[in-house]
Amino acid sequence: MINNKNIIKGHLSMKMIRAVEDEIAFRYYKDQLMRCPVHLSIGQEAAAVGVCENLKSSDYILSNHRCHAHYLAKGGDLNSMICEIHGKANGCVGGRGGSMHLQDDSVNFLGSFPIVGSAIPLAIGVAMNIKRLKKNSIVVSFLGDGAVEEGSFHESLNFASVFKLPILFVVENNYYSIQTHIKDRQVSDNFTRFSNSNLIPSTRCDGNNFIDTFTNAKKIIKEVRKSKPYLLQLDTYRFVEHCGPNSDDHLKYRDGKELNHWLKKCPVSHIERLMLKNNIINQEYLIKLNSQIQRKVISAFNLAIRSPLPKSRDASKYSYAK
Amino acid sequence: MQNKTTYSLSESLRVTLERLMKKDKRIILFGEGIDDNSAMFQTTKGLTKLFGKERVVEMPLSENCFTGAAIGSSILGDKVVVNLQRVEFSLLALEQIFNNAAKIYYGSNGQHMSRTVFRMVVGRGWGQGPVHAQSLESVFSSIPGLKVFMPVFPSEGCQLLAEAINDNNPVIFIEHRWCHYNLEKFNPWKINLSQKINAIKKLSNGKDLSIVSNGYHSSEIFTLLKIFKKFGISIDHLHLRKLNPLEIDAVYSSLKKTGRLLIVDSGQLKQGINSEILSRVFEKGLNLKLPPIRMGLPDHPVPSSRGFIKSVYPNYLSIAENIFKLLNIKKDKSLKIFNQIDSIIKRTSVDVPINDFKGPF
Ligand SMILES: Cc1ncc(C[n+]2csc(CCOP(=O)(O)OP(=O)(O)O)c2C)c(N)n1
Ligand SMILES: [Mg+2]
Repeated sequence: MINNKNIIKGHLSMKMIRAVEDEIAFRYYKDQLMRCPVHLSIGQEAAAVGVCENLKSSDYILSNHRCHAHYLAKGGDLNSMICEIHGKANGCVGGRGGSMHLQDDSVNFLGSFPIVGSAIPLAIGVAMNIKRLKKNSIVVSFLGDGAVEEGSFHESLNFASVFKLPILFVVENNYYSIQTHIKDRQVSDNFTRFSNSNLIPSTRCDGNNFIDTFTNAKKIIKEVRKSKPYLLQLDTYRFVEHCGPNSDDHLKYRDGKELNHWLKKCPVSHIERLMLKNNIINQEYLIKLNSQIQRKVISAFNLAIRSPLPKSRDASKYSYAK
Repeated sequence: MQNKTTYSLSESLRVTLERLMKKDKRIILFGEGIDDNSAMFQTTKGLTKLFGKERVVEMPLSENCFTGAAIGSSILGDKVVVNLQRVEFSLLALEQIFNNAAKIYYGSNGQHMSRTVFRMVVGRGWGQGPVHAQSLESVFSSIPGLKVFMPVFPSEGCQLLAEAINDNNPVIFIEHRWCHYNLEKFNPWKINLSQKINAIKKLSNGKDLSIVSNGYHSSEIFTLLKIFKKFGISIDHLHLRKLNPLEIDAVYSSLKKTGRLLIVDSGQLKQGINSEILSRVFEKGLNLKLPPIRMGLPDHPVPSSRGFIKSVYPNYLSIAENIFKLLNIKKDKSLKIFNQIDSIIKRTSVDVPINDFKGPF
């Protein structure tokens, strides 16, 4: 189900995402040039990459506020993303949106939508279009455990089921909505109960394990391509605060033991250890890879810093389509 | 704590909630992030400890449901304060607010009431972007049955919140995020919470020009007019803090004196509160010396990047320019005033209310 090539590619993508977000975190308050709220996916990379590595560029995805990993994993342009987060005119939406409004149509990343649950019905519409026009694509709707509580999620499940839509719901369960644990919001952390009741097949797996995520996603996506909706629950954990670059462990809303448990399950080091152990890669490869990635990341930031802010007189552009 | 002399709006709201909840067991709070460290921008801090989880109810991410639930429980006599960290989160619950909260009294022939307060925060700055910075107060004000209050200064925040909670109607309580930092010397523990306050407060007295403002702009204009005063320019500044029902008799009497009108609205310019005020002034047949000027948000969404922002919000300079226009102030004098304004502006960048504001929300 997964070969070494898949693993090497997935690892590269996860390393890239981690490096980008580490750099965002490092510079965020130091330089104060990224003046918009950022929701980092540090710790959750395997979920995005495990799914997206099974997608074709003709497949669509829609995402939420925590979107950097989804965007990059789908092949979204790094420079445009970093420029957008810096509020620059050459950002992926011209500085109009910031970190929570990424988009790259060239890879069918149709956008991230920061109102919780807002993007799910949009994905349903995309799936209906795909089906009606017999396009050779599917759509993935990424959402968090919090979004499961919104009505739009449940309406969308019913829709997907009754119209047999080519849609994959990926629920990234990081157990928290901001600082509120799932046990204070739902009676169970198993979201397959909702897909079951809508007669949508589902799988729950360890979202920090790239190989598990990849192989499950691969199997599932094959089914979705036959126009069958599916739900994939990926259990994972964010390593930093809900919004912003820092750890917020001092606030004590998360149990230190819990965090340590997940830190040990870091998706990036997990796959890396495995690859080294099985001689898929060696240290030399890693050193070279790290410096290649670092070069790309730094050059994206340099570009963003150099690039001009949008002109205030252009603020009204695009308010109505011509 | 009690010997503090200066309070911010967010601290004042916090104190008021505590005072009211102590006195009236029917008051309960619903919301997301009211029982965590962020505590609705610190305005609900510690209330769970004092009143328990049954009265401070941390909700699942189900705005539509808990908004309806607030209305439902108020039918049985509860007074429910629904806390939404952004105006936009209420959009998932407009069906409940417009169809039920706003109509239940009318539709039940006066038998049921929706004693609900919907606190909603308007975001601004630090790149909030199109769906975290909307000013929808005129939308709410256009719905019969909804009252709309908008506090700017700390002491009026206490009074308006108390009035909203004790009102027998649903009240949309809109807090501009930047107003949370406004400071005032007073004691929120002592201020009279049973006295209703006027829709309009006169913040400065003058005879040359009437300025009507609301929201964060009221505090900006308050600062701005201190400079104008030094130059002998005398302005009537009317701060509007209840948007619906709209009671603006004070505007008419001010205009009779000044004959010149500037409206600075924190909401949308188009079909905004400003439009309603101007229509009424026109209907009154008041004679103005010059055509009035309205300011408000332009006809496009609020973008994220600070590069755009200069042309989005009315600001010290654009407000001052309109004052110069309406008063025919000559270049040399206006330049001197601009210089003084410049010194306030230089203190902070365009996308933050105070220097150490670093968002994220
Ligand atoms: C409708 C709505 N309500 C509240 C919010 C504020 N908010 C932003 S992210 C978030 C938590 C979402 O949790 P989850 O879906 O699990 O995603 P995570 O942040 O954990 O990735 C909340 C409550 C929002 N953006 N939209
Ligand atoms: Mg979550």
